[in-house]
Amino acid sequence: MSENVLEIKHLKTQFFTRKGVLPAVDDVSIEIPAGKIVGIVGESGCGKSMTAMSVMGLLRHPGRVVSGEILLCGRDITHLKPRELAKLRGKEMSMIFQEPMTSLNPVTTVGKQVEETILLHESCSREEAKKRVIQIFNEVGIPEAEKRFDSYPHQLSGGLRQRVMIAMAMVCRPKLLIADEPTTALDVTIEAQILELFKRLRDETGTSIILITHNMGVVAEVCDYVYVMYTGQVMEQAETFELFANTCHPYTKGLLRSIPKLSEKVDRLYTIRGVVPNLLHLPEGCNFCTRCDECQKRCLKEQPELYEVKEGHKVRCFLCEKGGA
Amino acid sequence: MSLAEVNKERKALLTAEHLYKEFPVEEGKKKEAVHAVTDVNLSLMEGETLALVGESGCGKSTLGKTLIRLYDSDGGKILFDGTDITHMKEREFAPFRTQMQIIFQDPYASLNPRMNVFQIISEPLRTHHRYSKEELSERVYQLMDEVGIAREFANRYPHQFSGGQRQRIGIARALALNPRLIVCDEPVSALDVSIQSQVLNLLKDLQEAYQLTYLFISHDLSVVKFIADRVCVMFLGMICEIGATEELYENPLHPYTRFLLNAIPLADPALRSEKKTLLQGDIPSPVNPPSGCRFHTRCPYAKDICSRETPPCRTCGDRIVYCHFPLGEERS
Repeated sequence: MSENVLEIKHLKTQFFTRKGVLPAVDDVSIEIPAGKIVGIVGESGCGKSMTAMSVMGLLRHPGRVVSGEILLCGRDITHLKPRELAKLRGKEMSMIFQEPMTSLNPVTTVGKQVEETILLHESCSREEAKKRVIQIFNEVGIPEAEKRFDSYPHQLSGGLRQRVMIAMAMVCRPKLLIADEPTTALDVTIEAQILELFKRLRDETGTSIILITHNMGVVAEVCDYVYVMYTGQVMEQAETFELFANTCHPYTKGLLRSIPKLSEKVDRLYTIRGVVPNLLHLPEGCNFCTRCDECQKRCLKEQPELYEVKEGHKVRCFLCEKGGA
Repeated sequence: MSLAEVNKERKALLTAEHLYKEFPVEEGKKKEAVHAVTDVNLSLMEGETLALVGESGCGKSTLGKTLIRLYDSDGGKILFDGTDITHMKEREFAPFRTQMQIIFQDPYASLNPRMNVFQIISEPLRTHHRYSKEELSERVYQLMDEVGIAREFANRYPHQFSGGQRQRIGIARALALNPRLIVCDEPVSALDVSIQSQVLNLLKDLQEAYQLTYLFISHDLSVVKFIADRVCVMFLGMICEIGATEELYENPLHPYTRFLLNAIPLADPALRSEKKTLLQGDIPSPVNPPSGCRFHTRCPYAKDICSRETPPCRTCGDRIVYCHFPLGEERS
């Protein structure tokens, strides 16, 4: 048995729209080891959320997984029936979303909503379930847990709502938690608290976490391993320290350089020229060739593969074809 | 020349004195109100970028909008270029209005979806009857060049543009009347990192070209570090600290500023600290703000006096701090 909680192999997810086929996820392979936090970073439209939705089986029409395999603890869940998938969601794997207000039911108390998850997946009495809800509320750092059980979502602050979401996701002790931009809607001081909570959950419960974000700072702060995505493809993958210390792909370099730094004062920021191409009209060669500073003739015609630079560090760029940059 | 001297030579373009803004919570019940802005004293120097930072709900947007009279203040005075504009009638105020413009956060909500780019950018010009028809289109095209929107897109509608381009259209609209002051209300928070840096560079170029004064509202302290000359930190409707950007980041005097700076996730795993001092708890309600110093419920250094008395304004060079026990004093 492998010790990976989740393995995604050559996943392709496409959207069949009237205008053409959108390759939202294009040949993505991701491994999530047990007890690690893995980050998926990229700009909007790069396919990071769609990868997560494919795993959870939450794709909406006209999106569909076209090929590839998704293995949860060694079990192929790619073609499970909806009812079978529903049994896994919340128990084996769960997901939290960016906007905690829109993902909670506004007319039910938060306690009831978390309780529902337990009653759905496990046979236990209501009293027992309530006890466990209060226990998990304490674990995720919700003050006055017993009082909060009867609160409605609108009575809680953004940070507390996100904690309720995390409680709901974690209450059945899933092996995998997918967090899609969990701190984007929160303030920095609250963001820092939530990130600390993720680290604690990883250490205490051994849950693997996929952290989807656009914020390189968040990645640097908590992730063990990082995948950088662009237009549906993984451009670079490496351990966090390796990625920041030895950045190889021009896109990753550009992303890191365009963030204003606290440590230095510059007159102008570095910019990646142009905009993200439309997924319907991707360039013929490398997807990044239209914006790349180091683009060569070959990049316009051929698609690079993922080349291994070091053990565990792969880069989709011809510059790294021979193993080192 | 020290920064303080430079500031003395510079003229204040906009000054707020003891500014208040409150929103009634429930009609009928007169007593309840959200204290969005409380006793704010602030000066914006000509040609500078002053950043307003703080967490959501701290009143930074309200303060920005009150300063340019998109909201009526509930007390205090606003001086624009030496003239008291606090209670001016609309007609009197019109010439001042053209000198202060605003760029909004959400480029999807701030452009009318039924107007094309030309109509959007020309609207302020038509409202203030600035130009003849020919001059008008000349000016609009010039503005489009300025912000980097191709002229052939003039007939397109907002939904045909990406977020970054929409924000450029919003900037062109704000520039149309040659304002002196632009309030930038979170102009890049809705944009992707690579687009964000393009828009920030554009804002900086425009400032240089037209000697614009920016009031830059943001919650992102790294963005602020890049663009601002001075920073004003707010908490729950009150000012905590104002100072020159570099100095304030290096040596924060107000505890809240320090916690805010500590909480930023840095894009470098080597700087990852296992034991960060994090601020606990949430922001108190602005309906019933804590007595005395409004930060005292979250402040680890709070003493008795903090819950009783509003901290006085202390100045140190050109740094202003509202705290009973500023951090610098522990050290000296």
